Amino acid sequence: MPAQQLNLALSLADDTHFDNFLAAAQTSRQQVLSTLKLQCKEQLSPSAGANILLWGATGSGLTHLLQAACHDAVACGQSIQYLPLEAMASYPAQDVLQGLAACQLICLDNIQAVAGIAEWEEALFHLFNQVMTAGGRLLISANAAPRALCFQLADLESRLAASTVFQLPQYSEAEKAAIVQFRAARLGLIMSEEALGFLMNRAPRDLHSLIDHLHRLDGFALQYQSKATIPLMKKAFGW
Amino acid sequence: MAEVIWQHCLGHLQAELPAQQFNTWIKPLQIDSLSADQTVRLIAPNRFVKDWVVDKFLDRINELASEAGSESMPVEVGVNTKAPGFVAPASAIPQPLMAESGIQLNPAALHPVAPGAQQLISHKASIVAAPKAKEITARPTAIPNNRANKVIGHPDSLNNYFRFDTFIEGKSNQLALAAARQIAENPGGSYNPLFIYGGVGLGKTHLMHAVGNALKARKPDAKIVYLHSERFVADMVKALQLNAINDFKRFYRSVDALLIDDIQFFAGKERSQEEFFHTFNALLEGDHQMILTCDRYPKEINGLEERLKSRFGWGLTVAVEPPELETRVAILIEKALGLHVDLPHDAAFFIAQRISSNVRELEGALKRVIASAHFTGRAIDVPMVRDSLKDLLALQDRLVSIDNIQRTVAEHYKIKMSDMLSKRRTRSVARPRQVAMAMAKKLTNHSLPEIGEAFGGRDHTTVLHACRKVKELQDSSTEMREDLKLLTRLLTS
Repeated sequence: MPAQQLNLALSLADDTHFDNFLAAAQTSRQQVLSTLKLQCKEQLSPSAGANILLWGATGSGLTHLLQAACHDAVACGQSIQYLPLEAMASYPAQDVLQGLAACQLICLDNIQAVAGIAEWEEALFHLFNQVMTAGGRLLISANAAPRALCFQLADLESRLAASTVFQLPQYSEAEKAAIVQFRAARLGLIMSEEALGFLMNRAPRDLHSLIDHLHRLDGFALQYQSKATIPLMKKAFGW
Repeated sequence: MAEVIWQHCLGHLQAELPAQQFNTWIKPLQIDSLSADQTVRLIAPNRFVKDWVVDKFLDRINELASEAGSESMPVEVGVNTKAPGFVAPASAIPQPLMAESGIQLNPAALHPVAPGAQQLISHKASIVAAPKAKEITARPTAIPNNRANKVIGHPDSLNNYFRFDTFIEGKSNQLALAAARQIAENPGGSYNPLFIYGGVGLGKTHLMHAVGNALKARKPDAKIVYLHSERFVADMVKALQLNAINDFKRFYRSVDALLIDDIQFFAGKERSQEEFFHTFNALLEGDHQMILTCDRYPKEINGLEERLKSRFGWGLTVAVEPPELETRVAILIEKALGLHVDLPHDAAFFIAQRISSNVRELEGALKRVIASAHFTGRAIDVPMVRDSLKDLLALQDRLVSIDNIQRTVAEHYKIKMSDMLSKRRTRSVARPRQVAMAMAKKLTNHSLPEIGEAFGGRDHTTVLHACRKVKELQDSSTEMREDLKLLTRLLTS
């Protein structure tokens, strides 16, 4: 088979760190955050339950946490690999996963993207076994709990279920607004409560779209040398 | 000469490229010292890296090479086909360290593994303990037997935790356990091979390791090899590539006990089956013990040669079934003890009642409970377990669509679906429509204009008004509160 050429324009975002992941006190989100931080520092062994699976709807912070764990692991001097599986699913699994088990942390983002692809399922199953032997750890994200992921290979499904599984709840409207405001502040974008409300009411309300609108708005604000006002938003987005 | 040219290229590329790109794509390339012709041949750790480098960097590398005076020496990038696994560059680690401590450089920590490695922040050049030196790192004819064993072999492949004393006996696994104990006492006897089959996460691997550990305890110098069937296949492929199949055969036929997990993955791999068949015969002839596990009865494995299926049945074939409730409780308590956690019996009972499929799911649930206990500082009891497992027990976070909301609300209020989208403003139709709009805002990620559009092309202000109205009614009317509670449960459970 001829070699396939990957042409991915993906990279770890610079701003995906634990310290800019907003999680209210005493929530499951904070519990996940605290567990991930602890795991990196303590280098838990696989027998203590090193593999973690996070699941939740799009925009609940899964990718942010996986990438933050990568940043953190690198800071701890560990070797890592982050794989967004939705972008890798069309490539030969064995080639993509070859040698991965030697990394100390392997992050598999959106594992549901390869559910039902026999070649990928078997390769992931072998990866699980190899990682367990090598003493590494897996951090996985999915859009559903392990049993609802529709994997055909029971061996893989049961290994996913043996991970420490956390559900990340969807962000509430107030949390989304707080995140948008937080991100706006980091961009140096001045945004009134009214302007924030306007954006929240009109943009698609998933977090990715909101942040995307915010970045576009930031571009317009720079272009027009303006604050992030309602008139600017109307002009920018045609609302 | 090639080395000098490459060093020149490296110096420039390091200055020109971002550190991440340099470390990910360029640094892992190695100059092929064996390249005898007039080329600068670089070796990439795998095909993906090669393709990436050729596509993105080769032109620049050739430019730089020309600058360094290699106009007549084109640069080529190839893949290390001699060792498809990872072979440490000999220069990267002092030989005495490797020889004395069994520590070897782990090149996977040096090399990007796939183009996904573009996301790799850093590949740390680290020295990692490698308890299992599995790779065949040299032509076997050139290495003495004991070294061949070392590179192919699996000296520490047994998991020390998987022992008989940590295995919980129940009706579901009684026979398999008795057989395993018998083999540990008398290996190579009448129960050879022992074929353990059953569903996932039921303890097959545990039993297999338990026999191995017991044999090792009785005879510490015994050569007990545990491996997954995929490892056997991979080793064989490597041996074939290295023309080292005789060493491969010699190694596997010389073990005292061979434990192979999940042999269903031999299905369809004819060459591996052929080799395994001969290994199997040789071991059996020498009265060396074999234990095999599989997810199904031998005769039911599709893609496996009949002669192998038949041989698997020569010894003893035993099944393991899903553990019954009492066994599940005992397993949980044992696992908690192993993690130094006090799990009350009623809490273990609560988990075991709700999770009955396999032991791995029990383990997952236990880990989740322990993580919650650490985080909250609460003692583990039934309410705490119920609380921490509530999301785990929910099978699926159903993503709710506007269409589903409209249908459910219309059905609840006994109006037609078409009324949801119509212009009619009578209260009997308008109120359910408002409820549906408010629920769409609450349960989906759609924007107000999108929700308005889905309700017959209404303005987003209509949706906003509906949300406010429903909120008011919710505050003032018990009936509305009950309706919303019921509808939410219908849509999200």
